[in-house]
This record gives sequence, structure tokens and C-alpha cells, in this order.
Amino acid sequence: MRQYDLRETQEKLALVGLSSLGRAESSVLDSFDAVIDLLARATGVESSQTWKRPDINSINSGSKVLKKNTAELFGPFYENNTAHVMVTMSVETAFNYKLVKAMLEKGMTCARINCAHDDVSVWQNIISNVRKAESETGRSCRILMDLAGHKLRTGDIVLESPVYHLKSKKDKNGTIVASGYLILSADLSKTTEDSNLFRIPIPFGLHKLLSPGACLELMDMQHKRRVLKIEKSLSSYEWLVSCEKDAYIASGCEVILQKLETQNTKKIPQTFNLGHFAGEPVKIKLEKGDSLLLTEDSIQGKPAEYSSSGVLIRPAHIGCTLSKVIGRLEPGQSVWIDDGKIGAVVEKITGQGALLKITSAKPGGVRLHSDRGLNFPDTDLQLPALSEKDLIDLDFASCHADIIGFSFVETLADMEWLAAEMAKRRASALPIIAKIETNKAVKNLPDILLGSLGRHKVGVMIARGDLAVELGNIRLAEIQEELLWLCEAAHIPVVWATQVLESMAKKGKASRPEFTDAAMAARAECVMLNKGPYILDAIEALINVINRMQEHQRKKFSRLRALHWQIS
Amino acid sequence: MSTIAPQKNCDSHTETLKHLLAELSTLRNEIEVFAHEMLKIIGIIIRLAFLMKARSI
Repeated sequence: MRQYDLRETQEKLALVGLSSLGRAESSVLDSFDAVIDLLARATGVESSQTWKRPDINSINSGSKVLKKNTAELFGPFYENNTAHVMVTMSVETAFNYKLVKAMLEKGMTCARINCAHDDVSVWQNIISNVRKAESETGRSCRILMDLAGHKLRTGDIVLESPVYHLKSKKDKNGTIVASGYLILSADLSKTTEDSNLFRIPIPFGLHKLLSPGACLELMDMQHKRRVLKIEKSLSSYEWLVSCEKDAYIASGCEVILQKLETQNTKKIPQTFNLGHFAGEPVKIKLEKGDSLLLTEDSIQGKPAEYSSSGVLIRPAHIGCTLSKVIGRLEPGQSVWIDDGKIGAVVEKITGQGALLKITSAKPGGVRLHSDRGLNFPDTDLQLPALSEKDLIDLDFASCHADIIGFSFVETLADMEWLAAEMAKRRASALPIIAKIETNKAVKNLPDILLGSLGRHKVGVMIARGDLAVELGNIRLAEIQEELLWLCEAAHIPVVWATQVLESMAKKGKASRPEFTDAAMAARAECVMLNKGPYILDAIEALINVINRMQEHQRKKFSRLRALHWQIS
Repeated sequence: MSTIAPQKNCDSHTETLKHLLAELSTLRNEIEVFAHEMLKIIGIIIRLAFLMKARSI
């Protein structure tokens, strides 16, 4: 139906008071038949019986099938909830059972494990916690294991010499008003204190001699004498340390322990060396018009080099974790870096890599980091849909997951491949969620859906992160609608994903547009939240918004509940 | 309420409805033909998949 432009016909139907077929996706022919039948009766035209007499049950059959498919994928709803909530599990959920139980009690009905992070032991712990919480709460929670796909990211960046700048706090006049703090640790693998403070390793011999009030003297990189004062013990291995002035502390530098004099002991200074720590990556800043060389992964990134007269000698360069991709690029094709923060176009292919011209970056430039996403929306990367790691992860997922998530699926052949791999692992019964995150996947979605219908249990995830980078933010709003209605026509459940109530989950307070987005998400069968310290608040807020919206809107159906303005 | 000249308006309204009926009937038939073609293609895909599975066994 959506191959035709029906807008004019819709206008005419609405003008004569008939259904304008705006909600026909789930039962196209039945909806047409119903309107045709009314028109035939009204005009007295003899039926040529090209249409059937409408049957109320058949008009509703599409939404019934969708409900059935949704229940098969995500299980039942609880209490008065009307949406399934999927949550990406943090590593904390592997070790914090109470949190997992609370998530189920708040309304999570699907736990998502992202195979791009952590390992089998963490995944196993998460699954055990979810299963235990299911049994204790009596609520079911499906486990989705998301195969990560190929890792297309920026490579490592050369590190600066390892010096840590410990900063004291100053007022607007530059007067020091508070000391700077760091942590000395005798064992970095046993960090118990949840702190963002910088940690410097120390030898165990020094650790044993430390006590609150002790001082460590050092000569910093500015050749200034600085004193680190031991404030308190944070754990059996860690000490909180203050310094009254700014200090540039070199990795492995010499320190002199000045212990407090007591009545019976003399002050005997002892010399130690701090442990070694890594330097920070050098700063690579890119502005519109700059050049960037995208190289193979083994070459570490560096900023541009200029002669003393300011002439560019060598452009900035950065590696790509999948080096073979560079050979597939062609001049004129676009490249997006770090979730679209930096836009570029391929200028030429050289022996060293692909030379890019930066076409989009915020005023003042954007710092290029390692391990950030790379997108090549115009390039046929010819990568197999499943990476070697995906196949290894599938061995585990086939035994432990309820649903398999398929990242970067682009064609029906990709789906066939995953289904065949699942069959080899005797996991054909598991549903697949096809994550639509590229331009090619959007174009091929009708084929993917039609080819999968009746053969695999399928869901679709609108993965708006990479999709937005590929399509551009402006087109995303339009495309996510089309995907939603296409899936409704095929009676396939949709997961609305990426950045839903993101600020709420991460900072505890969502912006107003985020609530509007969450309200739009109510038209999908499941909504995904990302991990964050305020995830319980985010689940509660999401369910609240969705339940309210369901009173006004079901899929495309605007429900005319009596208006009310009471605050409740 | 305004009084409408019944016969003339009724005729033009009926004509509009008849046009809509014709338009929708044509569309409906085209969509039905398309749907049948699609079903055929899905059938072929399913058969091919079964054949491939049978061969691999």
C-alpha cells in the first residue's frame, strides 16, 4: 500500500466522513474492504464482489498477530504496564543482585547484554542474577544477548610522557583555596573506593610505612619541591593524599618519606620510588578544513606536524581498527567519526592510507580520541555480517540467551547466515532481533521482514545511534516512523532504542524533549534504556510516560479520552 | 442549520462517492495482486530454504 501516494485520496475520504486509511498498516485489504463496502452501500452501486464484505474480526487480526508475536518475544506485561522495557545491563549488575531485583520490580521485562563489553564470566553472573530475581519476584525477564558485529573504531594514540598534573583549587584571583588530591595504591587491581581521583601505584614497602599525617617529599617536573600529605587510609591498599600546591608528578619519581616524630623514634627519612603510570594520549584537535590521514591499525595516532614557519609537514593521523576497510574507500565518500561529532570526506587514497578532509566539526575544533566509532555510510565495506568474535559469542548466547540481537544486519542473506549458525548450535527456536543501523539495512528491511516471516521469530530494533550517523539527524525522525509502520504491516514487534531518557539514567534528571521522545516511543512494542547510575528512576519514569500515552495513542490510533487537566 | 438544495447536492455528493469507490476498488485490486506476488516469492524462499537444509543434511 505504501508504494502508492494516497494523500489526495485520504483527503477526499476524510471530507466525506470515512476512514482515511491512516491506520491500515496491520490489515490493509480488510481496511480497504470496509471503506469500499460503505461506499457501495451509500451509492447503491451493485457489488461486483471484487471486495469482500468486511469482518470486524479480520480487521483486528493484524493487531492480534502483533500482540501474539510481542508476547512470544518479550513475555507477559505486569500489572497495568503497557510496554516492555529493555535495559542494557552494566557490569555492576553482575555483582549487585539487589539492583537486578529492583530493576525487575520496577518493570524491566528484558535484560540486554552487549557482547561488545565484558566477558563470559560477567555475562554468566548477570544471567544468574536475572534468573534468581525472576524466581524471587515471580516476574519474567527475557535475556537478549547482542552480538556486537565488527569493531570499526579509531586506533590508539601516541601517549605523552607520563606526568600527572595534580591541581590545587584556586579562586578567581589565583589564590589557592583548597589542596589537590590523589590516591596512592599498593595494588591497583584492588580499588575499593569509588573515586575519580587519579591513582599512582606505590611499592608495598612504602605502603607498610605510611600512616595518616606522614609526608612524602618529591621534586616535580618543574623542579619544585612538593609535599604529599597522607590524609587517611581508604582501604587496606589505598591512601588518600593531598598537596597544597600544583605538582607535576613524573611516573616512577623519587619520594622521601618523612615520618612524624614521636617521643621514642627519631625522624629518619627513607627514599622510595613511586610506581609507573601511563601518560595521557597526545591531543589531536580537528577543525573544519583540516586534513586527517586514516591509516592501518598498527600505526599510533599523532597530531599534525608543522615547520617553524607554520607550514604543514604532515597531517594528523589515526588508525582504523579494521585496516582492510581503508582499501574499500573511494574519493568523495563520507566518513563520520565519534558518533558523528566529526564529519569528513575522502580526498584521496595514498600509500599511507585514506586522506580525509574534515567537513564538519564544532567551532573551536573537536578532540579526536582513540576507540571511537567510525562510520562509512557511502562505502560498501564488504564485511561479513558476523565476525569471528560474534560466532564465538553465539556459542554462549545459544545456550543462555532468550533472544539473539544481530548488530549491523543489512540483508536477508545476513539473516539466513545467522539462522544457519543458530541451527548448528541447536538454537533455531530463539528469536532474532535485527538491529537496523545502516542505510543499506533500511533499504533492505522489506526483504528482511518478508523473507523471515513464518520462518524465524523476529523483532526489529531501531538502533538510532549509528542510524543517525548514517542518515543524518534530520532524516532520522522520518525514517524511524517508516520503520515503525513497515514493521506494523508485517506484525513484527519493534524495539525503540538509543538515548531514551539518557540524562535520567546517567544524571538523574531528564530534559523535557527526552520525555517527548519517550512518549513517541510508546508506539513501539518495547523501549530500550541504556545503563546508568539512576536506571531505576529511568525505568519508573519511562513506564509512567508510556502508560499515560497509551491512554491517548495506540500505535497510530488517536484515542479520544475525555480531556482532563488535573495534575496527577 | 442551513437548508441545502437537496437534489443537486445529493447528485454531486453521490458522484464524489462513486469516484472514490472506483478509485479505491482499483487500488485494492492492485494491492491484492501485489500481495499475492509477495506470497508467491515468500513461498519460493521458504521452499528453497527447505531444499538447502535437506541438501545439507
